[in-house]
Amino acid sequence: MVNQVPVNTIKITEKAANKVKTFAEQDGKSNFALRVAVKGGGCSGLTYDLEITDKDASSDEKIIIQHDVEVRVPKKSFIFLAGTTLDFSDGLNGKGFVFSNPNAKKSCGCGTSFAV
Amino acid sequence: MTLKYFYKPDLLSFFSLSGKDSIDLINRLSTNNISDTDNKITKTIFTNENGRIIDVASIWRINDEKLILICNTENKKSLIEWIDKFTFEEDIHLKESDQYQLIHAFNDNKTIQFKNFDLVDNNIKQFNDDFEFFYISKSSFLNQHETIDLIFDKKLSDEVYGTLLSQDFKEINHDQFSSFKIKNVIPFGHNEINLYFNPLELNLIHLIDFDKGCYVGQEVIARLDTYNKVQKKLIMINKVNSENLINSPGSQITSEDKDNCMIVVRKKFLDN
Repeated sequence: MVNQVPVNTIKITEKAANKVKTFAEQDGKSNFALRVAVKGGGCSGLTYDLEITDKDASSDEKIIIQHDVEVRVPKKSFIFLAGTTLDFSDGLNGKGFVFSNPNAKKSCGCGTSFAV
Repeated sequence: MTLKYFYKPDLLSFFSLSGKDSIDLINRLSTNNISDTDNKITKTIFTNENGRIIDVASIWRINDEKLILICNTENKKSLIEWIDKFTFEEDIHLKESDQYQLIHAFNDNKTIQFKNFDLVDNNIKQFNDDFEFFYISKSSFLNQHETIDLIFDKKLSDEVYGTLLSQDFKEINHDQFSSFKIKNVIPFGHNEINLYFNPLELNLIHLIDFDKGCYVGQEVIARLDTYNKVQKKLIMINKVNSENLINSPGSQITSEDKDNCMIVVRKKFLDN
């Protein structure tokens, strides 16, 4: 069960953080950050967007550091992501990165998009 | 001899579309896969989360930097607000222009040719000079009845009209076009293109790319199609002979003609 996350932040689990580190390593990036954003689209209207990027944050991004991973969230996206937990689901039937978003009123079947 | 017509729809709005994320965002919000090839037209349907139609738009991609979006004027406000709602960091700009004019040229047959132009479906031919422009394309109405669409600078109106008249095209007015569209079951304008209907009810399956991936409303539309759950259908009927259909529960007449009408009717009443 996912613990409730304070609404002024987002949480990344250790498992998700380790997976991000693995992907960054595969990309040959040592000074990386995980950018988490929301964009329009997907079945339900809003879809999550993950990107491994450089650490140079712009002024309109919120920065959260957990499990040695710097997470950058654009402020426009943060409105839709506050209180979210990012986990990783592996295994044969795993879904990859999984968002548990308290702002989502409904999600699509595959879980990559949501509506608020 | 086949009669040839041309019609100047009044209730269309034109937007210049720019920004590097324009096509990507429209692909995420509508049913068809917008072509990334120059000089191509793609018609696509913007749907809401419930798969209902916000508008059907034509995207004329002249080149990387020049895209024209054409929508129904009566749906314009909803469409722009919808696109704006889902624009976060995307680089997209929509600028309305009253410089453009569009004419549909067509005939009673499903197919049409335009003398002197070797037109390929949905390909745009363009004729520009420094100040004026003229685009021509063989396209189709929403039921796939072919039309030659001409977009041009309004300053060229007299010249274009003259060319069409010289090629034996006859101008028809709004009422005459309404009769034509009803007889040919063409959804056209706000009467048919609105939030009451989903694309499958209006026979617009050819404007849906089922392989393109997610867009808003995709899950609902895919489920309706996969499980054959579409309950209603747009048809043309004779008003007098089909009174029972007109009065069937849930049916909705979408436009009028003296003798015939288009009606969206529950499929179960069609079998009786």
